[in-house]
Amino acid sequence: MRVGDRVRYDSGLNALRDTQRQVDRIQRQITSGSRLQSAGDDPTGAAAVTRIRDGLAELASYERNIDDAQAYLGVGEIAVTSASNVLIRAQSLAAQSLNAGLGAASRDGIALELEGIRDQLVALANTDYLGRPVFGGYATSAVAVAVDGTVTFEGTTDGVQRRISPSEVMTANLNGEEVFGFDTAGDDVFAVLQRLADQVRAGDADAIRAESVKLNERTVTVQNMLGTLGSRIGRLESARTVAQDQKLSLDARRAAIEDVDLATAATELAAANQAYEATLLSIARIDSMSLLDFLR
Amino acid sequence: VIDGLMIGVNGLLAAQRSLDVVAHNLANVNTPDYARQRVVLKEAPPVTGFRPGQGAPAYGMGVVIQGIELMTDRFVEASIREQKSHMGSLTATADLATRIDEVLGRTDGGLGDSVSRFWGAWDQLALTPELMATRNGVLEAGQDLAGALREAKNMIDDVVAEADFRLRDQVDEINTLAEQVARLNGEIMSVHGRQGVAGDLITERYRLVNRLSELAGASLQVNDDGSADVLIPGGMLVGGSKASQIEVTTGPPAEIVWSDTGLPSATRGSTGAIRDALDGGFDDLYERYDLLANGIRTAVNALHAAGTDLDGTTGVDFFTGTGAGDLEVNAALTARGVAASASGPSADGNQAVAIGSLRVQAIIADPSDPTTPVATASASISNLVAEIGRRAQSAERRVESATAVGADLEVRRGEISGVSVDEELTDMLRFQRAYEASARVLTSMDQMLDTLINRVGVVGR
Repeated sequence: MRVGDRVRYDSGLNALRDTQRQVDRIQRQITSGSRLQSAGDDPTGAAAVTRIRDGLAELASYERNIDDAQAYLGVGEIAVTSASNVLIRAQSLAAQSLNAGLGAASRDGIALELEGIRDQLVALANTDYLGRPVFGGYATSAVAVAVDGTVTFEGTTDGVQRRISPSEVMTANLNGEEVFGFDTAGDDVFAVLQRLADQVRAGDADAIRAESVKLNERTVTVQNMLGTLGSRIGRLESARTVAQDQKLSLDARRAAIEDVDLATAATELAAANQAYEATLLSIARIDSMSLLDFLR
Repeated sequence: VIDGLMIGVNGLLAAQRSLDVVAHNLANVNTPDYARQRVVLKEAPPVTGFRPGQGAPAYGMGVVIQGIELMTDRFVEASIREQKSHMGSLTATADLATRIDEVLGRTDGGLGDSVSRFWGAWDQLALTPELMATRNGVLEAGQDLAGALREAKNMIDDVVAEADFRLRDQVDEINTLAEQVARLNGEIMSVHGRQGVAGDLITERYRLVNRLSELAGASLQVNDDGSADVLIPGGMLVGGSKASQIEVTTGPPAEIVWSDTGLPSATRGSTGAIRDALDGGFDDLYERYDLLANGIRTAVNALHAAGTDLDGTTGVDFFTGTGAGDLEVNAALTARGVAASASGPSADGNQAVAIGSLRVQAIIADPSDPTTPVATASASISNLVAEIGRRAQSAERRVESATAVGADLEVRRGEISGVSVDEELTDMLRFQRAYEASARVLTSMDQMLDTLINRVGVVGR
């Protein structure tokens, strides 16, 4: 077989160009840190990375929602716990007031404290998270408004919804109407406390007992709400764990597709460099053999 | 003795001419597509009928140069042309696919991220629907997304415009090459059948036609008079010493026609591939981006129009436009006008929740059924990226394997036509020796003549 000189040089040159391209490709991967310069490098991988990136953004949204719901519910939990505490105090005050030996001054003192508890509850009912009342639904201003001793509910009963996973929506606020008994006809906690204070002043034991029963109902409602809150907050925690686990696994998958494994890349680079040197050597050899060297 | 001188001179001339050709070959060792030449020597026939009936055996008159042979194999050359045409087509296709891949196949900072951020902005708005900052965030993310989709369409437009420009450029080159081949044909015909050396002209013609094959898928048909017709799929580009011209219509789609008659022509090679690509080769890409834009616009608008803004207004669209190219955030929309609320109150972010949830809903239709949404925006973009990447990858792989075939053909061509320095040097030695030997013949003839002229008849002088 004849081999033309040009072909010999050309094939040497082509081999050189190929190995050089290989070295260049690995070097670009190492410097950019990404195995995918464009989709053409790995179409399936690029498609997967595109979806994973969106999945990560989605999880970031859930995490943000969970954070928000947790803070929202946390504020609500503090308010409900305080409300529960003061209501228990109100119950014991009501029981004290039934003591037959109490004078008018003592009953008046108890009545005043009951009114104080009512005012405290009004403040608790207006607890807000970032300017939004946690018991007020979509309301943006005070929800429990006291006018001349009568407290009215100015909020809405809407649930502020937070999506915490693809399939789960969490209500991040508390229904003030329900918590404070505005859904009962005139037996909201504020009205009950006011009436209780009035009856304590009047010293009507039967009426006090009747109002105490209603106060107990309100207290139970508030305490039940604490249980609901606890389970919601627990649910948020587990949703957060799921989201974080998914984020880790998605990120690991993204990294496996996209990120350059430096150890592997460095080895590949060394191998490519070696191939390059070997090619250079063989080209140098092409030239070293010629009849010209033997002709005098 | 006179014959001997003639024979010697013939030998000298033949060796000299052969050495000239060796020198020519060596000089062109690096000329692309050069085909080596070889002097064809033949023994000169005896001069007969000169000495009648003497019974002396006839002897030859030395050597004559019969011609100079061009060492090519027309089948290999034809295969190379065919391969160049194939390669031209594949390379042009791969160039376009790679360009698209470079501009649209990015995995970071691309359209996918813009869509993700857009849904994320609605998710954020759902948390604090009463804040102007988050409302503005939604508008900005919407503008970013609309911009990214418009940009995608513009990028395809750019690639199309580039391809169109390249097509026209290459057709100009085809016409120039055709003129050159026609002129060469004329020159080759004028020396054909005479002692003139047409070898270099033929090599030149091969070179030009090879380029024509690459550009237009040309094939070559050699005629008896030495000229060669160049054929492209649309007809005869060069016939003898006459070249026809082709041109590209303004389109779209751009068509290749004969300049003189305006009748349709056709090419293969790179121009054929580019023309095919321009004739609807990008339609599916455009359509996919339009479907993406329309899917997002329709779904977001439906929810946005059903929502209520801070002033209680409903029924306002978020996006305007008819496709990817003109997608815009509704110019009339202000931060207050973003309909984040499902029922009206400013603190109600449920409509924003619903719009953010479009992230996981099938809102984008497939080209096979443009009216039924089947995929999420992210999945649709992911498919698009995969499709763009696959096209670039498979086009590049085809080029790679065709390049290997081309390299094999070049080796085969080199076996026949390539110049080997060692071989030429050996020939050089051979012809140099032949020259020396012929010179020695002349010397001895000269001595014989000297003997005859100066020594004969001096006996006894």
